[in-house]
Amino acid sequence: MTSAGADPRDNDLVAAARAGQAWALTEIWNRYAAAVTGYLRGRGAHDPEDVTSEVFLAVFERLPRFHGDDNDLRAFVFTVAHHRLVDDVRRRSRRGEPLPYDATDDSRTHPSAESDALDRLADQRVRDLLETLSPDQRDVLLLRVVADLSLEQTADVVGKRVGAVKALQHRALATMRRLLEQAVSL
Amino acid sequence: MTASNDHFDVGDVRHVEVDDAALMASARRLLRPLVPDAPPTASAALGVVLREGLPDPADAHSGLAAWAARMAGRVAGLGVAAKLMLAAGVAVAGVGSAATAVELTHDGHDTPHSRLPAPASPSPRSTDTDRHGATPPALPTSVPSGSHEGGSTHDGTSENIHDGDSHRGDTQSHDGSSGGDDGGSLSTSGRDGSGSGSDGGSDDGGTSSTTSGSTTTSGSHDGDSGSGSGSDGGSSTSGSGSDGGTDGGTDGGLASGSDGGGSSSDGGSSGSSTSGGDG
Repeated sequence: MTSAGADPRDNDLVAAARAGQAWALTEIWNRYAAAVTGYLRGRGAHDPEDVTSEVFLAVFERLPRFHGDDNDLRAFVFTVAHHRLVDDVRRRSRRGEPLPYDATDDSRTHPSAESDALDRLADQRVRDLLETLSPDQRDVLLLRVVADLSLEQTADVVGKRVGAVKALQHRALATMRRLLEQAVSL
Repeated sequence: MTASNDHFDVGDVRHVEVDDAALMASARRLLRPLVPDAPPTASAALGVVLREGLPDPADAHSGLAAWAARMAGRVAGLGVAAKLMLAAGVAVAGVGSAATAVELTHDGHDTPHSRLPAPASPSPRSTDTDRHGATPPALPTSVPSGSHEGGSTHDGTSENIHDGDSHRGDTQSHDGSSGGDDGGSLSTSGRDGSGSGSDGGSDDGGTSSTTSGSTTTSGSHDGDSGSGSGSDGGSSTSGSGSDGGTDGGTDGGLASGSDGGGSSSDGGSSGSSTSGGDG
């Protein structure tokens, strides 16, 4: 299920990254950073780009103790991202939720930012859709779809059994289909 | 579909897997906008790591600097109340250490004073300076010296003289035996010799107990303390036991006699040294 190809450089990549070589770290960043940002955005992280940088700093710090191949590396990156997200949610629950940015109330909108605003609205629609799912369902769906992890890897990341992950995925997809059918009928 | 959602059976997953595959494809399209086309801009710290690579793990995880940086980070993450409590704790620890330093300084002033070298021959002045009021009121001046010396000489250092005054001095004065033992070993120092030799000198007379100078001062006063030591001194000679009995008088008699006999070997050695000097 994973999209990670059998790149012959993968083993070298992991070995070089474990040794802290800059080119390997940059390669890992280029491969996984966008997916990590999407996962964090789908889970409602306050500042997904900033948290992504924190995630990779933590990943790089732990790389010398990492053992596995490229597939394991992908799961490892998203495990760190998941934990960092949990920390972020806890931190925000203690300090209070910041008000979300509303583009319609912002009089400083520049015409060239219209496309960005539209994109943001599209993202918002997706996020509203994800909000209808339970946190566990959202986690599983994002890890399976956005992070492209296998059922086993997803189970490892969220700390559940594979059967439970299958069930959560099925429920999440069913809920999404129902919502999509309602949207189409409207 | 709603009903199956509410009462989901994991066994049903196989029947819906095909359906799920199609749903997964549509979910992938649906969630595609969440993923940016390019990696986001790295933060400043991450940019440094991406440019220069990770530092050597040995350097990063060891060393005082790394530990200090971690501690500084933890302290910076604390709240105001926690920082105040931490500062209060540090202040209390500082006050405590300062008080300890002052106390040690006082001790330091005392110690050199009491560490004056012992005079070769015992004198009333030296005995007075050594025992700060430890002299038993009922005994003559020479007696305290003997009993105290027993304690002080035990360690041989003036520091212990202070402590030894109360403890050792008392025990020796009471126990003829202990006094005798110590007295024997103390023979090296002049003061001790005085205490121990007192009995020997008086009792044994010229034979073994020649502790001389000391003997003269303490003389046979010592009943208690002196008897113990005297027994040692004279113990080498059989007469010590008898002497102790006669001289020691009250308690010294029995104690010194028994001790003197038992510790003849010890007392002999120590006593011999002192007595030799005297003789």
